[in-house]
Amino acid sequence: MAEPIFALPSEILIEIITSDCLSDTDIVRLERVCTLFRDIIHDQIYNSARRKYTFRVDALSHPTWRLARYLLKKPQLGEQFGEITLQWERRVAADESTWTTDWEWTDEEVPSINDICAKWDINEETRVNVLKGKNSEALLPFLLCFTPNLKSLDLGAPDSSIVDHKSDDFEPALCAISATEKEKAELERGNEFFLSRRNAERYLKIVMQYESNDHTLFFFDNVKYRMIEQLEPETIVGPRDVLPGIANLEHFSIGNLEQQAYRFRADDLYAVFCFPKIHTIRVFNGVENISRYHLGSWFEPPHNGPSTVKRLTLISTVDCSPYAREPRQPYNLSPEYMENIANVTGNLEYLYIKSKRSNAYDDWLSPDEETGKLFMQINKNLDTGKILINGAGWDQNKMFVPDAERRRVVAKRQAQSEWTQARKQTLEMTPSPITLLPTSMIAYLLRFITKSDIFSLMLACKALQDVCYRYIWSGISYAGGSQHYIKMNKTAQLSTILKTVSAMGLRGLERLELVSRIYIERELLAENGFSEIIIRHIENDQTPNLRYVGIDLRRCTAINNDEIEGDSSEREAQSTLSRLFRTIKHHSERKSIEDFTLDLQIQPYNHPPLSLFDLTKLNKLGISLGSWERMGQAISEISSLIAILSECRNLQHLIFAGGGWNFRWSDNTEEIEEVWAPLENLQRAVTNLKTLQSLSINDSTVFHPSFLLLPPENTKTVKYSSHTSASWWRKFAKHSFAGTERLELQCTKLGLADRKIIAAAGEEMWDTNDDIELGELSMIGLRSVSIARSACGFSKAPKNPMYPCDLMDLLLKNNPQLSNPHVVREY
Amino acid sequence: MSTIKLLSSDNAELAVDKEVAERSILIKNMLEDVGGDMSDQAIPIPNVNEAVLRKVIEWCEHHKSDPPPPADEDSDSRKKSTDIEEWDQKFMQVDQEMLFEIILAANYLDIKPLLDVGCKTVANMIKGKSPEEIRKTFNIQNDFTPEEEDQIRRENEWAEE
Repeated sequence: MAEPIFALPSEILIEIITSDCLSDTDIVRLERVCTLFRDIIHDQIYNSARRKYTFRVDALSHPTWRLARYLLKKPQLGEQFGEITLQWERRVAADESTWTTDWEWTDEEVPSINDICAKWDINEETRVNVLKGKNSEALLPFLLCFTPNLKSLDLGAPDSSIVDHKSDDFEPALCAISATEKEKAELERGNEFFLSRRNAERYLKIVMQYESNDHTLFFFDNVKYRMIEQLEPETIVGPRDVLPGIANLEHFSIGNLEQQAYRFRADDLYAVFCFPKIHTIRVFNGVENISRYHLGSWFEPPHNGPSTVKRLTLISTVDCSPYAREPRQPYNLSPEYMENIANVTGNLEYLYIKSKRSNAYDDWLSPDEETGKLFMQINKNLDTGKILINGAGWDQNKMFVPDAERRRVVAKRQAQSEWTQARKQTLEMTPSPITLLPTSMIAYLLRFITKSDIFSLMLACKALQDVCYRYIWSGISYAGGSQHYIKMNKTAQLSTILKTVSAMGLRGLERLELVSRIYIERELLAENGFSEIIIRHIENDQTPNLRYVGIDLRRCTAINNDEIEGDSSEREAQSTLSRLFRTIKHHSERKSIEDFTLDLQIQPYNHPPLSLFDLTKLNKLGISLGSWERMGQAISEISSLIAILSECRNLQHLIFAGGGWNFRWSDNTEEIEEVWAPLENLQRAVTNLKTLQSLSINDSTVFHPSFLLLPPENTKTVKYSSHTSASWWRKFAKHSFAGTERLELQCTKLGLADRKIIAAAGEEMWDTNDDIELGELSMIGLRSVSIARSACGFSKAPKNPMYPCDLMDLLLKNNPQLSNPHVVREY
Repeated sequence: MSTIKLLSSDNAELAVDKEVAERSILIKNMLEDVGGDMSDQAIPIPNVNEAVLRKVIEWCEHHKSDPPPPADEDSDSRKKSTDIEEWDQKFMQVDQEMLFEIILAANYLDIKPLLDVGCKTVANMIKGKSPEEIRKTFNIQNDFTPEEEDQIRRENEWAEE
């Protein structure tokens, strides 16, 4: 029974065998499989001049030298070749095993080589190298003498070190044959005779192999359309006969996208434009930028009219100029160079140029449009839809667009997707399990991932798009803020976005955050800046969902004061800011407490403009006290704080973030005692905060070492981080902390100044951990305790932790539910 | 220690310690409302089937003596860590359907720490992936046309860090 492959109709077999997937080696092997395959190959490939050949330059096994020898005997083989691709394999100086040995011709072959070279006017250096068996790239022009049917030539990515040997190669090469240091030193002096006999012979080999030859690629040496002596124009020679391999060449390609390719001169490329039947030219990197001045008269249209080339691709993603600072940078081909190229064309139907460092969006005034127009002017058949220059081109309406390439790619994919969609409709897909979750749950989930992940998720499918989009737009922060806020560091960004992004924009805004930099940055407050935009949107009721505003007012001084200091622009900025705050106030006044939350950070010392806020909505208040140096400061700041607190009827979180108590070095300890009366008033104000959920004293220098600020009843979380005196602890032990469930302590030893005050007041002294026993503790009902103990290994831990010795025992005794190690955290 | 009974949506009765069941705020409030003794009557949990309910109870057992979550002082600072402790990571090694069922059950039963663990697990599956990889992970069919996709990309280019 016949194998299934033979059941294929012969046209399919032919299709497979002649497909581009199979290399020349595959074909040669396939030829030997069976007569059917052989017949197809002979008929469809060899006799149709579609044979491919990969020229492995400098390959160790001399494959192309062997081919050349065969061609000398049987030149008609050359007629089978339709395509030659060069692959560059070159010896590595330091690795002797990669060194190619010279090829040796027989005495009979040498005259035939000379005859062929003479017939096709192969240049002398090429001929010598072919005869010497060196520089196997010299064989390419020689091969081209035998291939009259060649349609396609790909020069690959020549490595410049292959073409020009550098003297740097010498030392590693010598090391490879292990010459002694002494020998190397002598060699450097040019004394070859010093070499030991063992190495002399091998040294000679190196010289032979690495002897530098100054030439361009041998290929270009032999394709010059005409020879020009620049200084004496009358000596112009040519046009000369082209090599058989060039005569019918339609496709020419050089370089690749990745490598820094061999640099060939622009005039070399010019020769390619002159190939009589050239149709496609593709150049990846490597064109040296030569200005019109240097080109002189070289770039003239070929003698018999413009180049026949129809498709031109010119890509320069790597800077190959000798002055390249960073070789990976793309390289700008100059408009002059483009113009030179344009001038030799006339039949182009397709043009693709990419040679620019920055992307098109940055550079609207690029000469790309001019370049394109020039090409169109010269090439009458070049349609606007077939030009792309650095991503730019023309749309269907013949309008120039800087991102035409992107649009075309999308349009192409769109067409493909519509095609597949039409065929997929009958298929049933099982829904993704993630669709089990309602959108509210997905929104909750988004808190755990970063914005760029949310962005990716947004693109996964339509069901996820909306919820992600709303989430991203729900929080805006000016300069800073947590990761889930859109950061508006540049106002220009916001106004651009609001112009371009769909109507949703600020309608989805739920949270707005303004951190302290708002008072420094003029841009925020400028006309049409961030503030203006926000004001406008809130005023026009375009932010119906805004339900949280957090503002850092610490550096905002006396904004509601009529006598604003500074110049007029400063006054204007401050008036914008106060308008912003008033607008927010107005917005919040229309909302219920459940629907709007305000968080503020203030410095009472700076007289924050709290009248501009709806304090009934204040949820969290962060307080930084001034650095008190005189008692007067302390008393006045505490009293303004009391006034503020009396207005915060619904405050849930009160945080003292530091400052205060800097005057304790004062010798006048009597004066210090005056602080007690205001502190007691403060205590009353705090006790009146009936809605408070958490109280946090976050800095050790706040208040007085013996002042324990007690939370109102039912404050769930209480945190003290301070220098604490013995009398502080006695008060702590006595208080019941009714309703408190979480306790966090970071208590530390008193400093010298504090101890002085304690001593002067005649209070109980406390020197080491063991000194104080509380004896009893009133605190019950705790569900979690965290006590910072160790100073090492934990950055948050205080430097000199100090607690009464029986604190932990008493806490556990009073709160048996705490026995679980999860609950008591000592670090 | 008193035991109560829970009735799953597929009518399976599961006995569970009261303390464990009270990890669910829903059940806790329910018990408080009826004023204590429910030992004779099973509490119906109509939205959760037996398999999922068993998983949820397993989680509550393990975490029965965890401290209460910190007071919601920072409710609006939305930066959340996606670290998951080892036991929970193993616990969450289930197929996606079960994972999402657990999340839904935790939401319904009001067990916030379990909800968070579930969400973190999903978040970790999303982290650092391209849209295409996300689609593969969750077996989501891409229903955007390339034009729509490109439009979204353009609109949001600025939002990328």
